[in-house]
Amino acid sequence: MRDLQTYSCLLISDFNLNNLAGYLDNDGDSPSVEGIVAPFGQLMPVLTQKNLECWQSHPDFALVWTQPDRISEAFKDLLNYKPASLETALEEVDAYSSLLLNVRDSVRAVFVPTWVFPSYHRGLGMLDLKTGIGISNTLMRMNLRLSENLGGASNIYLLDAQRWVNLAGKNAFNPKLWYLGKIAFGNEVFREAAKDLKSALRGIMGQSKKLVILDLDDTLWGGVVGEMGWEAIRLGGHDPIGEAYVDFQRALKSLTHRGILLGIVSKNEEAIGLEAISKHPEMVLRLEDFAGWKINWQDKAQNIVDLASELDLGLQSVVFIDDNPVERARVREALPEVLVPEWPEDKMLYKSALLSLRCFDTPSVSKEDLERTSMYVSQRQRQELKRSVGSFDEWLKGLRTRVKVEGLNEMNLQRTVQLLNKTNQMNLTTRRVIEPELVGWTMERNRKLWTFRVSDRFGDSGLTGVVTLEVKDKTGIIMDFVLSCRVMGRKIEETMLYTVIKYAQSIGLEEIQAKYIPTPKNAPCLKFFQRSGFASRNENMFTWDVREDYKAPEYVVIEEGA
Amino acid sequence: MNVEALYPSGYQGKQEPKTKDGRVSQAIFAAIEEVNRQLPKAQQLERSLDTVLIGPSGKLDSLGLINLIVAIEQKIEEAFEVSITLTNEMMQSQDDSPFESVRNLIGYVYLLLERKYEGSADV
Repeated sequence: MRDLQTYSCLLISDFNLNNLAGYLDNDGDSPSVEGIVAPFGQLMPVLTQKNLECWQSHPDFALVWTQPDRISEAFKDLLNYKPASLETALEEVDAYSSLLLNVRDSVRAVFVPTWVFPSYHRGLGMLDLKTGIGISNTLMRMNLRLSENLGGASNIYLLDAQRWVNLAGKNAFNPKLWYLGKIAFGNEVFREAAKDLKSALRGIMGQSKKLVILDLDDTLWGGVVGEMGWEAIRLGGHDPIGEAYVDFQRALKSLTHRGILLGIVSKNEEAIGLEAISKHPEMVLRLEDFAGWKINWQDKAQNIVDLASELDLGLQSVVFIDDNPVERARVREALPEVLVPEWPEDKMLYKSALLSLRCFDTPSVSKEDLERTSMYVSQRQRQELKRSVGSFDEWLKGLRTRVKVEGLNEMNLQRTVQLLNKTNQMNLTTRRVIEPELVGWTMERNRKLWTFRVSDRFGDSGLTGVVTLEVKDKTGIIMDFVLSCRVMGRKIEETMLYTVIKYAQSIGLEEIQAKYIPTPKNAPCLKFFQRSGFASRNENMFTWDVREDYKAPEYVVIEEGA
Repeated sequence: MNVEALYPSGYQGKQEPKTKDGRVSQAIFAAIEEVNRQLPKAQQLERSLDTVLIGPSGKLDSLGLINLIVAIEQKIEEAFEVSITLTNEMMQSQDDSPFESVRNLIGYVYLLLERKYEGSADV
């Protein structure tokens, strides 16, 4: 099971990173990471010579953390108040960037903390942000140049070290650590760095949270709406607490713009809760901002299970926010997969508590992410149609589903990789890849990749399916069969198999094989293959005799793209 | 260094030297917890007065000792709002070091604080 694997991260630096390695090793959060410290004082050899011993263990990731005055002589001059050319500093950044770009082929991802210089160094004081002479000004431009140089590389991520320094406060730099151990930062900085690095890794592994489930009373607004009525709840107005609730709602709404869904689980009368959301003039969040809700008097843990299931999300994708410590403890105990953050008693800290959560990092944001909430609203409309029509076939017919089938291209590469890495349930092999790996994989002539873009009368669900095939002699082996949970059960799965088998027939194959690799989350994929019509060779191996046609699903219009 | 001579007056070396509210030992154990977050499991320090820090049966290497000393200096400053310097002692010979065990370290820190406060019983 990939989640339980320990990943190795090569720590490359021009200072001592042993403490960071220690924090990475001891941090209990997933994923488990072993920090391997590259030889001290060997920055350039490590970046340029892949035959060095530290590369031989084939680390999964690398972190390259340097001090700006070690990379740029011009910046070093500036630190000593000598005149220095900005152009020279930027050229030195360019040279360093080239080295980083070389490293990315050796690992799944490279992390590069931004450059900072010690807060006790006041630079030129009021002149420090002046272009041409200011130390801070130059460092900002160097970081910006680094960001621009690395921006095109899909598996290099700049991490904001200034934030770690800010969080560490006066302990961010300790000259004693430097003189005694060549440790450039205080340990609080390394602790924050380890947490951010793990958060980034969770994003890359597809373990970021996708759904925030909220309580209502004293969480989204102040007071108990069932007792006081929606007109009297504490929300907005000339009231610091009311203003804090509005700000918290704004922060929640901003999450939806990153593709994170909102839901409600609250002990209330549904009609009363929904009325407050619809009618209170200062509500920022309205019904259309929520992917779903369970407002009733049932156990909240059960309601969370039901809501996640309704939205086709696993519990490991859920964050639950509730002001009540008893409810939090109950959900933590009943549903250990759900993240239940400790929540401040002070309402004025709600927004900062939300924005500091390290569980939403993703390696990219796609068009599908940005439109996710509206897709779920469309899904709700589909379900309503399902309830209003008599049969499953009638419902499918009413959807007027269209599936556009395309190969891999520059436009859909990022989303394809994201889908492969984030999909857990309808996923045959749960293969995780980075962009260069996938592009390299598809370059072989015996391999084929299809993407599936789904739309219907309620909206565009976007690129939601991927299938890859590897041909060996007369057999086609399905390497990936991945479908977003949001379109599962709408005959898209059958459309994907139809596409594969039609292709197999066109090139004269005899058999298609699909080997299911079980994980704790992909049972839906096994169930689909069991009912797909494929023959079951053993409990995890499914085959199709290509001499037989695979029936195209009724009511799905298939469009062939490029 | 005669470590016994460093302990507060009346200290017999058998139990934890006490400040009025145990803040010295609390600060040192907090520093040990911090350092344990950086150490491999097998090298983590026990929360005990008898824990040996350095020497043949000590668990700390030179980097671990640096981290512990800097952490203690920070924790003491947070607790007492005065700064003490342990690093000078660290650089002396290990045979003559107050860093041999947690018990010795607590006594030594107590002494440094006592000097800062000029023997005030409020330490």
